Amino acid sequence: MRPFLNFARIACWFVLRQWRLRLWRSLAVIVGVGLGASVFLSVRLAVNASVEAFSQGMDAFTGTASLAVAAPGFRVDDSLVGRLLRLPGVTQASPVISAYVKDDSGNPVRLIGVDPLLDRAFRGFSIAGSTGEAGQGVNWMDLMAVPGTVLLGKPLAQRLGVEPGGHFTLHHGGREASFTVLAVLAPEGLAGVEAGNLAVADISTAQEFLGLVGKVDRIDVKLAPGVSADSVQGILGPGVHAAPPGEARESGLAMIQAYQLNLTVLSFVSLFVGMFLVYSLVSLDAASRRKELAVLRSLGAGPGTVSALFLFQGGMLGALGWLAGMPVAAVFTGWMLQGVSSTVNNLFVRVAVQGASLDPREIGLSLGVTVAVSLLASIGPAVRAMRVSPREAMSIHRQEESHSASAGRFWALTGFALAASSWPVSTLPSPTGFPLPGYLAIFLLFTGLALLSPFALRLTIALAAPLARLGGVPAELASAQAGRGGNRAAVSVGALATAMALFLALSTMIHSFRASFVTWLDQTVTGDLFVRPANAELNGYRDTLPPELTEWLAARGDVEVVPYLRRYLTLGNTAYQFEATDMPGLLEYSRFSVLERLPDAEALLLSGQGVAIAEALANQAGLKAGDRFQVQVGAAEVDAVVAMVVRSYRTRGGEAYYDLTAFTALGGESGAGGLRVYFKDRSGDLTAKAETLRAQMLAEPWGPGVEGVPGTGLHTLVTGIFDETFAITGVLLVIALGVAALGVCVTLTVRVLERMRQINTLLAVGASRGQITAMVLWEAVYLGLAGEIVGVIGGLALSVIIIYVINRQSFGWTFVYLLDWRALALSLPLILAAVLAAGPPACRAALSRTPALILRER
Amino acid sequence: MSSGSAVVAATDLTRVYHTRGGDVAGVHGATFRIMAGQVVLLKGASGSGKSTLLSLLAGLDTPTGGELIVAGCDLRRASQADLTHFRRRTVGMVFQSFNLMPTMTVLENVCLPALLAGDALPVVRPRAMAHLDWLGLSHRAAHLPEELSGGEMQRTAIARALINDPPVILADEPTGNLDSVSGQAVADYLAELGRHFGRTVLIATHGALADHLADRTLCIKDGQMSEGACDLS
Repeated sequence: MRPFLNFARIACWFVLRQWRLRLWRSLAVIVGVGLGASVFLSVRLAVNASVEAFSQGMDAFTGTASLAVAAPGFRVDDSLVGRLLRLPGVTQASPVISAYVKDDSGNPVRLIGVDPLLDRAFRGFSIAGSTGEAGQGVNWMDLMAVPGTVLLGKPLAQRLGVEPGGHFTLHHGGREASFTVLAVLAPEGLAGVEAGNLAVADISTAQEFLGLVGKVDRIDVKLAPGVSADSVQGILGPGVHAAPPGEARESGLAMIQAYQLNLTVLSFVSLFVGMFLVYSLVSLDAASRRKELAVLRSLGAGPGTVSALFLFQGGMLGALGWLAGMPVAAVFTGWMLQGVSSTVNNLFVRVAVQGASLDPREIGLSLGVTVAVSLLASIGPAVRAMRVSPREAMSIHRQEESHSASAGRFWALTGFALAASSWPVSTLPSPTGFPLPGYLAIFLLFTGLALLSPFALRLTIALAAPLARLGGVPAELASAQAGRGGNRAAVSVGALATAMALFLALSTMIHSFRASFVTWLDQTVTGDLFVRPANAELNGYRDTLPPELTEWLAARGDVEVVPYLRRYLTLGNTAYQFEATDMPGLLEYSRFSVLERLPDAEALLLSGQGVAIAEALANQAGLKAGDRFQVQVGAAEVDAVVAMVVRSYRTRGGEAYYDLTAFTALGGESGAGGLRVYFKDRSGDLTAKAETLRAQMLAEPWGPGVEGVPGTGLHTLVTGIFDETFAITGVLLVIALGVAALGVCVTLTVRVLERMRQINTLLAVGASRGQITAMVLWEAVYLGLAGEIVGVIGGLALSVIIIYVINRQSFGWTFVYLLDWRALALSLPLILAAVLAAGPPACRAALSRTPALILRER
Repeated sequence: MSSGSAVVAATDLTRVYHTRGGDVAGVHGATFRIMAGQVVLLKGASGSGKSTLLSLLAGLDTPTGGELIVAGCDLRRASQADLTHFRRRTVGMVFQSFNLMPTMTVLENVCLPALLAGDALPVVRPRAMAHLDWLGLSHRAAHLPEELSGGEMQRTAIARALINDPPVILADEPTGNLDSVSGQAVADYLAELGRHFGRTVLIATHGALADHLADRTLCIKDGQMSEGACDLS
């Protein structure tokens, strides 16, 4: 205990008091680390909120069933419940139906229909205000006996402004019905679904309102011990499966967690850049306090104690930075919660996020990662510090760190080798859904770039020699100084290069993705008006459009329609969307962006012998053109050849496009789950015409049951979602750049302070303050240029890895590489602005005292 | 350490530095003994090898040849851990440029070696205050080194050298950066350490301030030792 206390005392005297002397620089590093830590924590808390909301909702809805009997993409007959209950191995069975309907304000409401008696064995729910056994004070039979009665989640009851005994109206598929509130659910069990924005009705009430009499979404089953799912499967019809109910939960969670991993890696960048800052400050101390270290050694401090002082410094910078970052994290989390949950909703699964919880594990993780990163950054300076000989205490003059040219060459070559190995490493096979080789490649690339930084700085100075001549004496002095800057100058170059590489790579990734996305949207998602059932997206496109709508449109004579049916299915472990569409119409008005195809692909598609599949599905299921695609879709057994692999960004799992006529001929459904509407007369303002058509359609008696979006509106909507999704990325990049700029500021000031005597000698022999300022700014420019060169090279390499490796491994899709020239053009002024902004504090430090005072101090 | 026994015993002591321009001998074949309680002056011109010899005696550097035993410790064969322990407990160093830690107060500077040696601060503090009191610095205990005069800084360094009660005090040009009055005071304190406190004191200097205080004088020129009058040219 005593050695620890003594060390803590000495560390406070030696380290913390030094920070007080260099307050602004220490604060800059703490702020930089704090920003990194806050971004890291807030991103994780925001994504965790989505994970929690999703998993709680799923758990509450899944209940304690051992099996769920369902027809993926379809519904099952409720008569199956009785047959299941008669099976010897089945102890309990309960039907469930669920759909998103609308309240009077048009807001979605989750309506869940259950059999209150059968369901008690699966899902717990109790009444708000009651104690003990669920349902106390409420006549459960009323839910079944009195049609139109519901239990409401408390948040929904508050939103609708109703209490037990009150009435409200719901709308669905052109129907509307008044419901009576039987009771308000206590916030537990089933009330956890949709964060309480739900209404629970008796199953027959729900079926009648939804127009699905005799149909249920699934039947939850409990099996007797030792009974397997196979015993149930035997009585199920084609397309109906019995599977553990957790599968949907697991696949949904896997998607969100993959997204979390990507965002975590991105948020780690700011911490990584902050690492350069820590290295910069600790390294400075290790160099500028060599004499003190030698004295410490001469007084009896062992090498371990000396190195521990620098590790302590790094660790404290990390811990204090983390502490400083916490209030910022609170603000960031609130802001990111909205962005992240909206992205999760748009891209992956529906979540109802209420707020982020302060998970102690996440807080501990962020502290651990921040301190670990800071400690890592301090290891190099700590090792150099422990090598300081106690003999240097005898020296009157300050000893400088020696820089060996051969060591410099070794590290430059190592850096080159690491950077060059990043591409082959990125192409190694990766575990499913986790782009480990891709991330490893990025780590190798960044480490390589950091090691190449000293070489890049020397190269920049050599290349910029003509520039130095133009800048006169200050520029030439600056070039000499920057060249002799050693590791600390190079560290600042490394920080800038890292931030710049990320800026360029991610800008290029987003730019390429957006361009490919918009091209796909323009070519493939065509239509003057898109029509679908209300809440179609939320309800998984399982509802069909009213037949009157198709007749009404056909009677107009001025439009062509391309109908489609969509079903969410799985192929092996891959969740995807099956779309049966009017293939002749689709091919007439739209164009697939083809990646791979058979020569007679169109003929195969039109004849129903072929299927077009999205790249994401092809990658995840391992399919390519010419392979067989066999799937049971309801009653239809589809067996077709993969005629095309096409680009598509509609769903994460991808889609399979098959001809609707052929699908119906195979026994599939014949209704339409959605329509693309095209005006025959292409003249005039098509958007205005679509708006008029939409208004006329909604005014029809069946109008409230459908929704229509004009093509231009849809394009605006989805590109808006795209931009919103990447807004977080943009903010994270700006923060990383800000941290890097802080790094330059610290390095430049430190380098100026280290040369105070030399600078003041220059003043004493006639240099003007203007020339000194110019010299400092020129040095900043050299650092900036070197950072730009390394950053651009690294950014281009990184963009290739992100687009062709990480993206493909994470999402299964790729896009056309398109360099973001605007970002590239912007990067140089941006980096120069950052380094020049770092100049004034350094100049102030240089010119703050009179030369006589400085020169006399020595 | 009883008076009359050799605290320092050097036999054919050599320290050679390997440089690009060839080998340079900082100390070459030095043989001498210093008895307990003696105050010894080590005189020599700049670059004669005084600091090198002091570095070897203080365990800051390791001999390349010969034998060197200080207070029973064989410094030629000592490991790094042995040398660290040796510096903590056996020698106290006083440097020409004071070498106080700028971020620590006078009291903290004095306590530092004892804390490094593992002593508890509550035990060390009164001891440090007693040394500061003896050196006339108790009123400066809470000051930072930058607030002290040169003489005060060097007296603080003496207090620091004494804190672990080492048998040997080594001073490298202790008056080199001081005016004559402060220098004389520092020299007097160092001499008193030997005379009244039984410490063995070796003062490396090329000045004359401590000449009259020494029991004997060792001379070093071009790394080679002799006893008696020195040629400082």
